[in-house]
Order: sequence, then C-alpha cells, then structure tokens
Amino acid sequence: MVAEDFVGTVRSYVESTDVEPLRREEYAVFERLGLPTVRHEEWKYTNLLPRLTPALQIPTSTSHAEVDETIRQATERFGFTAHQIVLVNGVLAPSLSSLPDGVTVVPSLTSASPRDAELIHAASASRSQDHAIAALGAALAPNVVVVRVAKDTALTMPLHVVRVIDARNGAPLTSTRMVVDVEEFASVDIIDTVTTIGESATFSPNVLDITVHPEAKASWTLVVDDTQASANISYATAHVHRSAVFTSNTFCLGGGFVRNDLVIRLVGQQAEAYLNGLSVLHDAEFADNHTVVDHAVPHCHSDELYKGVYDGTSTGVFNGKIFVRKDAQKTLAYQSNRSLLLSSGANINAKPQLEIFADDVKCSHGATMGQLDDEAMFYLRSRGIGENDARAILTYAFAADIIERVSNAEVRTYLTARLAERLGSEMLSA
Amino acid sequence: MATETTVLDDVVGSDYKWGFTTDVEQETLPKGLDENVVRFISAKKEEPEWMLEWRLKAFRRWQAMKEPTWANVVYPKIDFQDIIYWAAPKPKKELSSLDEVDPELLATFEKLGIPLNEQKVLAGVAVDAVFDSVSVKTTFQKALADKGVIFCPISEAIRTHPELVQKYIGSVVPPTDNYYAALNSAVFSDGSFVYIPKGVRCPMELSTYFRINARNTGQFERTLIIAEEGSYVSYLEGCTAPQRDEHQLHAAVVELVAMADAEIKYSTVQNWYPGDKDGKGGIYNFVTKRGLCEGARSKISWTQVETGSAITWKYPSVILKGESSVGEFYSVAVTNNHQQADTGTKMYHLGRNTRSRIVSKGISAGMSQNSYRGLVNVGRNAVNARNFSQCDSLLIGDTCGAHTFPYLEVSHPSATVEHEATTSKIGEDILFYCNQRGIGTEEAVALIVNGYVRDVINQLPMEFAVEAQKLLAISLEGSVG
Repeated sequence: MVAEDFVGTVRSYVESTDVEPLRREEYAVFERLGLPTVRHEEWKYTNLLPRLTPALQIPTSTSHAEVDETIRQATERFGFTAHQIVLVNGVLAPSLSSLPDGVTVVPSLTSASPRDAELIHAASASRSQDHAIAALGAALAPNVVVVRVAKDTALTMPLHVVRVIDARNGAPLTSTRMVVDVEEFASVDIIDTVTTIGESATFSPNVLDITVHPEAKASWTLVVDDTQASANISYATAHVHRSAVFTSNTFCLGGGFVRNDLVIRLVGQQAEAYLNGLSVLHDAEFADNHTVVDHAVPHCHSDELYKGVYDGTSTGVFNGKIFVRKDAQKTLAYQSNRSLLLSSGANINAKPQLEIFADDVKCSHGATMGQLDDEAMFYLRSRGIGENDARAILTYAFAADIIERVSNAEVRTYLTARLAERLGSEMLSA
Repeated sequence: MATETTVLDDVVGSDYKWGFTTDVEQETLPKGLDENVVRFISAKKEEPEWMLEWRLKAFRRWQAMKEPTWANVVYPKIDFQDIIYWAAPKPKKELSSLDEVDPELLATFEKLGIPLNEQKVLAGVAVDAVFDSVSVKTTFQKALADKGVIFCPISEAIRTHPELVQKYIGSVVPPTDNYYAALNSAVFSDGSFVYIPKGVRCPMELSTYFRINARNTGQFERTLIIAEEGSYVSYLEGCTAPQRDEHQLHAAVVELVAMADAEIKYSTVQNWYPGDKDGKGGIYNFVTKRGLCEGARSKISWTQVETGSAITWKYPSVILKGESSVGEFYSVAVTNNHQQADTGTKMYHLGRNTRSRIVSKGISAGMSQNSYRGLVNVGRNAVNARNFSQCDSLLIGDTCGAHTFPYLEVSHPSATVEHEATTSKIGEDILFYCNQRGIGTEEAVALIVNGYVRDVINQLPMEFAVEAQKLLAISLEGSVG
C-alpha cells in the first residue's frame, strides 16, 4: 500500500504539472522497474518501505529568489573557499550562489542552451536503465545543475553544491540532478553536501552523471551529515576516458537512511579511478554503499577503500563490484572493505564481488569485520586514558585514514572536526 | 565387453554377480513426474506410511515452488516431465550391453592409472555404490557392525532403523528448503545412511560411489550421516556418469548431524561427465549439502574437488549451533571447455566461540565460468565468532571467467570476519622457468596447479588425494598452448 501511494504521488506530480518530456521518460523507466524491494538482489539488505511515509509531498515552488535566515545559516556551516551553488529542495537559490563560467543551473530543457540540453539528454541515455531510484531522481529534479569545464581549464576553486532540504513545513520528496562534463585536460573538484532543516521526514533521490574526457581530472566528495528522519539516496555514474583520473570520496557522518550507488566505467585505456568511503554511524542509522567499477578496456587501474564504524543499533551495508570485461587485459583492480563493530546491536552486511572475464589481470579484494584491538585499548588505558577516550582515539585512527585521502585541506579539517565530535570524546575535539 | 561390470564389480566386491536381489520387473518408469511416481518409488522401496506422506508433502510443496534463477549459470530450461525418476539395474546381462556406450569413462580411468579396481585394494575403505537409482551393495558391513556403526543404503535404513531416519531426515535440509531439495525429498531413490554411535571412532573411511548410467534419468540420492557424541567419521563420495549428448540432472541432498565433540569429515571427488568440448551433454549437478554442528565442540569439515559436471551448483554449508563448534570448507573447482560452476559455502555462526575456515580455489580454462558464492553469517548470540575466508581464482586463457560473490553478515561486535580474494593467471615467467628446465608447458601447468590447490588436496584422505591430483591434470588437458 505504502509503495503504491508513493508511486501515486509521483505519478500525479509528473502528470499534472508541466513536467518536460525527458522527465516523463525518466518517470516511465521508474514506473516500469517499480520500487525496489528486499527481494531485489541489489536491495537485499536495504528496505525502502519504512522510509516512504504517506506524509511525503513534492514541493512545488519553482523559485527561491529570497531565502530566510535559517537557510542562509545552514549554508554557512561549512565555510569552504569555493564556488557555492545552493539548492533549496532542488531549486537554485541565486542570492546565495556564485556560479563560475561553464556552470549553469537549468530550470527546464527548453530554456537550456542547446549544448546543455544535449549533455542532459546524453547523460540520461548513458545511465544504466536498471536503477529505478535513479530514474525517479531524474524525473523529480526541478532543476539540473550542468557543470561544463572547458578544455585545458582548471577551476581555481572547488565547486561546492550545497543541498538544503527544507523539512520545516511538511515532509519533502525532492531531488537534485547534476550533469558534469570535464573536457580534455581540464580539472574540477566538486564538494557535495546535504543538510536538512526541520525534523520532518525527507526522501531525496539524487542523480549525478560525470564524464571525464581524455587526460582530464575530476573529484567528487559527497558528505552526508543529516537528520535521523532524512533519507538520502544518491546514484552517481562516472565515465572515465583515456588517461583520465576520477576520485570519489563518500562520507556518511549521520543520517537515518543513506544509500549511495556509485558506478564507475573505465572506458579509455590508462584511466584511473580511486574510490574512498567512510561511514560513521550510531543510534539506528543506516548506510548502504554500492559501488561498481567496470573495467571495460585494457590497462586501467582502480583502487577502492571503504571503511565503516558502527555503533548503537546502526546497520552498514557494503556491496563492491569489480567487473573486468573480456578484453580488459592488464587491469589492476583493488578493493578493500573494513568495518569496525562497536556495539552488540550493530550490523554489517558486506558483499565484495569480483567478476572477471580476462586472464592477464591482477585483482584482489578483501573484507574484514572486527572490533578494537584489546591490547591497543589496554595500552591507552594503562596510560591513564579513560575507556571512552581510548575507544574514540582508536576509532579515530581507524577512520581518519580515509579523511586523509581528501585532497582539499579545508574539507579535511571540517571532516576531522566532525568525526571527533561524532565520536564524542572531548580529548579528540580539543 | 565387461568394462561396466568390472567397474561395478570392483566397487562392490566379488559378490556382485548375485548382488541384485531386487527383482525389478521394469528397468525404468516412463518419463514424467506426478504423485503416482512418488507413490511408485515409495512402494518399490517398501517404505512405511510416514515416509510416503513425507514425500508427498515435499512433492506438493515442490509443485508450488519456482525454479531458482539467481545463480551465475546459463542453461536451457529443464523439463522436469522429460526425466525418468526411477531406473533400477536389470540383471547383469543387461548391464553388459549398456557398457559399450561408456568409452569416455573407461578412457578416463585408464588415464588415471587408478581404476576403481584400486579402491577395493585400499583396505579400510567401505564402499556403498549407488548405480542409477538403487544402492547396489555395501561392503564391509560386518566390520562396521562390530563397532555398532550403521552404514547402509538409506532405503534399507528406513526399514531397519525407522526411528533414526524419522528423527533426522529433513532436520538439517527441510524438504521445503529450496526447489531441488523439495524435488529430491519427493523422489529420492537411494543414498547412504551412516550412524556412528557414541564415542566410536569409525574404523575405516566410508565411501559412496555414485553413478548415473541409464539414459534420460535423473539421480536423486539422499545421504544422512549422524555422528553421536564423541564419535568420528570420515566419508568420501565419488561420482561418474557416462558420456551422453543430452543433459542429465543430479539433485542430491546430504545432511550431516554432529553431536557434542563429534567430528564429520566429508570429502567429495566429483567427476560427473562434463559434456564434450562444445558443451554438448553433461550432468547438471544441483546439490544441497548441509551439516549441523548440534553439540558443543563438534566439527564438520567439507572438502570437495569438483572437476566434472556441465553445471555445478552447490554450497556445502555448516550451521554452527553448538558452542565452540568448528566448520571448515575446502574446495577446488576446476572448469574447462563450456563448464559452469557456481559453488561455495555457507557458514552460520549461531553459538558462542564458533569458528569457520573457508579455502576456495577456482581454476577456469577454456570457455568456462567459475563462481565462488559464499555466505558467512554471524548471529546475535555468536560471541567471539571467528571466520577466515580465502578465495583464489586462477584463469587459464582469455575466454574464461572467474567470479566471486561473498556475502558477509555480521551482527555481533566480538566477531572477527576476514575475507580475501585474488584473481590471477599463471605467470609466463614461471612457465618459462619450467620450460627452460625441460618441463613441457602442459606438465608445468599441472605442476603449478597442484601447488596452487595443495591446501585443499592435503585435506583429502591420502588415497583420494592422489586420484584428485591426476583428475585435475586430466580436466585441464588441452587448455594450454
């Protein structure tokens, strides 16, 4: 019932407002696939149904020319030196945003430049058509953020996409869609954060499509640090061409329900992909990271490290797939997933997966689940450090290693502080 | 031609000539499956009423079930009405005429250099041979009976030890467990039954030899092993089937129960006919194997060498219920030509201080696909559970595939679960090194493969380790160069 009501809400939105044909097509894909259930292999450990409360509504405002003080404050908590793009419930807030050249926020395809429209269409066409929630996100997104980094240019500052979900009046069902095109020899760093204001439930399926052209470089850092009532889903696809480098950093430092799908296709030789992830959860939080690294051509390299710290009754899910296609010889692919379980109510479900169709490759994966080392705890305690602090220090050491992989110093500082705060040790915060 | 006879004779001993006491009026039932077939099989076996009821219940559940499709294997849909569910050997003369269609098997044995002949010589191995649907003969009955060990065809056990069978059958693999287990529960024709009494160390290796001989038949055997407190048994099964163009189905169920301090070691050398070079024919091996470590400090160890079958689909599992119980899984799966294997294990940690170890070595060659699929589940109460898994894949040639699907589910913070997997090929430098020293490429590959699978082969009883090594070499023949 819940699922049908949810689909009904989306359907009436898509049919009633003047939603464009492309979004209707995306909706058709969603409707055809249906909402995933735990019977679906990719959603085996992830149950969406409890998150689809009947209260969810699709916000209808199409402009946020003026924003109130609370929203402004919410965008200021990061303070990164960056080009800031603020989206409130998926719609651009121009007064808080500073868009550099090449970045446009497109409210509709008809008003988009032909090149932007072409990019958006191409992104929809190239995305895998088997993910219902990605199609849902693309159908719902009121705006599309188009980032085009011209050939041979490097943006001096990172782009910071600040997503604010306003859940003060009602439970918003909203999404953000981004299309990023990094041309040859160009480079860009994108920081993507999500913040909910208000305590109502939210449901936010977001879609990101990145193309990294030959010899270009791109990084995407996603920070989900959200309320217990929030549900954030992200579906990101990256096509990495010859000698290009793509790095993703996925942080989950809070949120009632988080699901991240990251699909990286290495389609040009010598392409490289680095995937880093960290989830630090407590209470009844839930985070699910699904990654796919598809080695379609020879001589590519991928390296993946995901860590998780689970306290309270939180649940972590990790599914990492590495595909090596038939002709992708000389592939180097590594994957590692490490989890720390801190409490007896916590759960971890991991499925590191290799599918290899070429023989001259070096692929490995490893997964470990365990607890803090008793001897290390004893060492710290014997030096007069209290149990909580000792646990926090060791957990911090375990987790910080992922933060260190982020190239932007301000982001590192922010994440380090948030991690210390989250581990609840005054010693670390000081 | 006495080849088939020789094989069987060797397996079952010289008593064979009079071995078939069952007076079968017809060799096979017509193709197809309905309630009457289930009733027929049950009546043939002179089973008590409860057994028939049990079968019928499973059959009705099976009818309502759907064929699973999640495995990483591709095959045409099986027509379950196109299979013969009952085939019993006729007297010896008839068998001789069937022999002639079995050149592959004969050749294989010759190549092995250890025909089954040798199994007889290997003193201390008691053999139960299941030929198509019926158990032919169990050797060494007396020596075992002295110790109180029961080792007999399950059909006989149903008649002679109904209380034991009724208590344990379906207790580890319920009839409704999965599609093929339900099918097996409805139509299983024979299999082995082993009961080791309290404190007894089984004096010899027990062994079952399975053979599908007749055309169009499926083999549905059921094995039940119960090890009482403090007992020990090592059990080995081997399988072969003749060369045929059509696919044949083998859907077995194996249940193991280990009480406190008991240990069951179950080894399989599976060499069903894998189909020819173009993927024509071969056995579909869809098997459910599960052991229950019921008592404290009990241990169940699965060792498997899988070289045959067109499709292998099996996950020998251990439910670690008893405190400090141990589950082990050692596997070598070799696929060549068009073979497909989706195999692995499941370890359910329920009790405190339970430990499990998984070592899986996959080798793919030719056009084959080889998947490891495993589950390690640590339950809410499994304090200090410990698991280590290692899954390695070796690829020979660029047209095969190796896949790993490990599922790790942990719900207790004191658990330590480790999984590692690697995929690689045989290095050209290593081959060159061997060639330089006068070792041909094919021999070199055999040498390297044997080193690679050593961890697993070492777990096999010695006699079978030799056989397994040679089998590996044969399976991979022609895959290099």
